[in-house]
Amino acid sequence: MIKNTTFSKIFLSNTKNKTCYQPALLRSFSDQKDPKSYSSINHEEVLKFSENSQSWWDPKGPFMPLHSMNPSRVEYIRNIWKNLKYKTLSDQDYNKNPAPFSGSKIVDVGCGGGLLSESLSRLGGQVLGVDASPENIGIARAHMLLDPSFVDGVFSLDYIESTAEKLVEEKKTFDLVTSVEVIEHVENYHEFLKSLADLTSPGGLLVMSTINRTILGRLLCVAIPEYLLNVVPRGTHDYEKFVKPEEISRVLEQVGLKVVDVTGIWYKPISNTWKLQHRNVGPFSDAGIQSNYLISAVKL
Amino acid sequence: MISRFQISLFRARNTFSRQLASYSSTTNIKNYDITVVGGGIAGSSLVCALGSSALFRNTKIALVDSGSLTKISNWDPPTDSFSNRTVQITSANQSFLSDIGVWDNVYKERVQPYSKVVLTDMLGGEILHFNTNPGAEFGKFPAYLVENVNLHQGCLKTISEINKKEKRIDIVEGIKVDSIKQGSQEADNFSDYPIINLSDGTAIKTRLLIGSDGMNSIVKKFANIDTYGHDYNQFGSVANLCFDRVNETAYQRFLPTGPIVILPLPNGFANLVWSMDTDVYNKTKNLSDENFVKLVNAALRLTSFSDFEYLLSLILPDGSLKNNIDILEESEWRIRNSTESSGFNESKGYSNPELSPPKIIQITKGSRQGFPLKLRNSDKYYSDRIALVGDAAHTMHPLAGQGLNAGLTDVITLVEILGNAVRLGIDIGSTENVLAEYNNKRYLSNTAFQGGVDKLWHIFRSKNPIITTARGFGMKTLNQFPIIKEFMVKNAMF
Ligand SMILES: Cc1cc2nc3c(=O)[nH]c(=O)nc-3n(C[C@H](O)[C@H](O)[C@H](O)COP(=O)(O)OP(=O)(O)OC[C@H]3O[C@@H](n4cnc5c(N)ncnc54)[C@H](O)[C@@H]3O)c2cc1C
Repeated sequence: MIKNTTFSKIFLSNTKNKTCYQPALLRSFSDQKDPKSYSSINHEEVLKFSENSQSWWDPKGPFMPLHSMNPSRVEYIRNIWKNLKYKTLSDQDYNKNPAPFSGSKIVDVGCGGGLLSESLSRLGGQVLGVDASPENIGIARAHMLLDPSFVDGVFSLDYIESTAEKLVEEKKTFDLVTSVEVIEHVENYHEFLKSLADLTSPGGLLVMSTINRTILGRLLCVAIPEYLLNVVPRGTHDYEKFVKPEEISRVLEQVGLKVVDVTGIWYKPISNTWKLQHRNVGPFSDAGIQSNYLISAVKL
Repeated sequence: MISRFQISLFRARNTFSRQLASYSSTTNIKNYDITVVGGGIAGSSLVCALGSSALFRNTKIALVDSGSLTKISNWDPPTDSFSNRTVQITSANQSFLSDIGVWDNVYKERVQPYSKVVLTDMLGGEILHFNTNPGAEFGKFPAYLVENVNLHQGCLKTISEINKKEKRIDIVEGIKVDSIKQGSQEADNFSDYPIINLSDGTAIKTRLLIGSDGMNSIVKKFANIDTYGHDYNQFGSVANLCFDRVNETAYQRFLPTGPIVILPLPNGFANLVWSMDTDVYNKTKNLSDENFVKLVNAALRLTSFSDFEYLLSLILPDGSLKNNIDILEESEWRIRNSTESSGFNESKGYSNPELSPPKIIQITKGSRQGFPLKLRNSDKYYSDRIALVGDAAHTMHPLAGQGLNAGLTDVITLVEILGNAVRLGIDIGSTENVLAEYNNKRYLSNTAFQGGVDKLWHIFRSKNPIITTARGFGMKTLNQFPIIKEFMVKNAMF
């Protein structure tokens, strides 16, 4: 493995004298703000992810479960989006639409290496990926450049090193706000949710995914992957920061969003795929959302 | 360890601005999302499937073939004969061809649906017969016999129809693929997209390259995918035949020198696929059409292999017959005097007269042709941004008539996986999410099928009495087990 520092050096030295995305990169390094000015950002957490950022796009690297989770997440977002925007269309016709997000402005908060951002952009959205980690933004941009469709502007995708709070300050709003596997890493989730709510335009959709603060959540998302299987770097997750769906609901409802769906998402280690699971399994209410879950809310 | 991604990132940074310049300024490089090299039936049906699905409406597609697709598309079906190359299409694949609009463009009066198959063994003497759907309506038959060219022109017409509605597919024909290079092999490239150099000096850069360019696939070669397999040291001798009456039954007979298969076509026509050892092929290829017909009739009826060998021994290298003996008289005499007991010697008749094949009376002039038979499989069906389908990925013995059916199943599987990728915003050239999944779904199944057909071939060419007895027993047993028979019928495995 190349050490992080080496990687950053290669990363930086090779971007010198290049046009195109260099200014943004330099900005991202000079732009570091006083941590306190971002209520919801936890800088230790930002660092944690940055350390691994060079392997973001390696499907067999430490982010393996994230890679395999992405298709299920997109599937989920697609389906919720249908209920909101394509109510009258049959499922069959909707499933044949290659660009359901076309004409919609999307922000992916905590975009990391851009897994979800790229997918939503391919599905027609005008996607802005934001991340507090400059290295993640660097990785995301570099990966984007490997695909001519993003370079040519066939798909609309842009990345900036920023935060939800900063975008709120800039008075930006979006038809779809996504933030996947982020809330469990922020310092103050109340503030964070408020910012996401402010970013959602009226009638717009907010989708998040995270881990439930349950015994199973702890077991399946921390103990097993980080300690037993070693597929996720140790210390990636802090159980105490996990948030329950009802906690998210409560905050969102205070700021004018209505939670429309909570769905569990389960890892199938043998096939390395994920499966969406309804909240209730047989007679057991909330059984499906004991571990990872997706939650959607509409801004009224 | 430095991951590949890091290397490509490193490279990306070094070459990005240069590449970007050449990317947009080079006029003779065209960009596509999917480039299909090889517009045979596998490649052109794949393009039809992509073009007829709304999911791929934003996908830029090119089809490249070195031959003239227009010529095939303008095929004028002869009224007095059929082509000597035919394929049996399973009903599952026929449904697929209907769904993508191809079946509508096939000349139906030239297609023979059939559900009855009679299997016999020159040595084992048993008869196995299938008739799953007596009186089934059209459209519910387990198999369809179609001329390759009829199906092929149907695919190409469908492509034209798709393009007339909305230009979705660029066709590059009469132009060969000279070479393929991939970014990851070249320091000068920032992406791993394959670049296809064409014989007219232009080039194509593509997100996903699909090789459907047949048995000697150039795509496979450039992707460095290894091939393994063996030659059967046999030839497939094909011909278009005419029966003495209308017939809707398929006949397959196992001879120690290879299986002979006669498949029904409309109006009493039939197609012959006779696999024979190379020495037998060399003997028979110079026979006159008239004598060849007599030999086929004999091969279908003789109950002793030594009788058959005797007939072969009469053939001189130039195709004439020793002492001007008449094969027909000779074989009929032998059939009448056959002492070996079997289910279908002439005195007893094919145990049930209904199961006896009609006499062949004629061969369509110029329709006799031979193909060397090979089994080939690839190490895998993909590499970075490259997938193989059809004969480019695998070929098998035509004894089961499955070559193209396996190719169509490749196409169905790949299109489904690609559609899912598009629906979920996944890069359709992605190895992990798309190509590896395609390989997982098809590789094992094709290999097992090929292996099965290969085994069948070895079993049925054996002259070992233990095996021939077992074979006879097996066929007898199969007759009692409709479920297994049904499976074989479903897969048109006869
Ligand atoms: C005797 C015999 C009987 C058979 N019977 C049956 C049967 O009953 N049922 C069945 O399912 N299958 C049968 N098969 C197999 C079947 O015919 C093949 O599997 C099928 O035709 C293969 O189709 P394909 O599209 O994969 O390849 P091909 O038909 O070989 O098409 C390849 C295409 O690629 C093009 N091409 C090649 N090289 C290049 C290049 N460098 N650049 C550009 N274009 C290129 C060619 O022009 C061609 O159009 C039989 C085969 C034989 C030999």
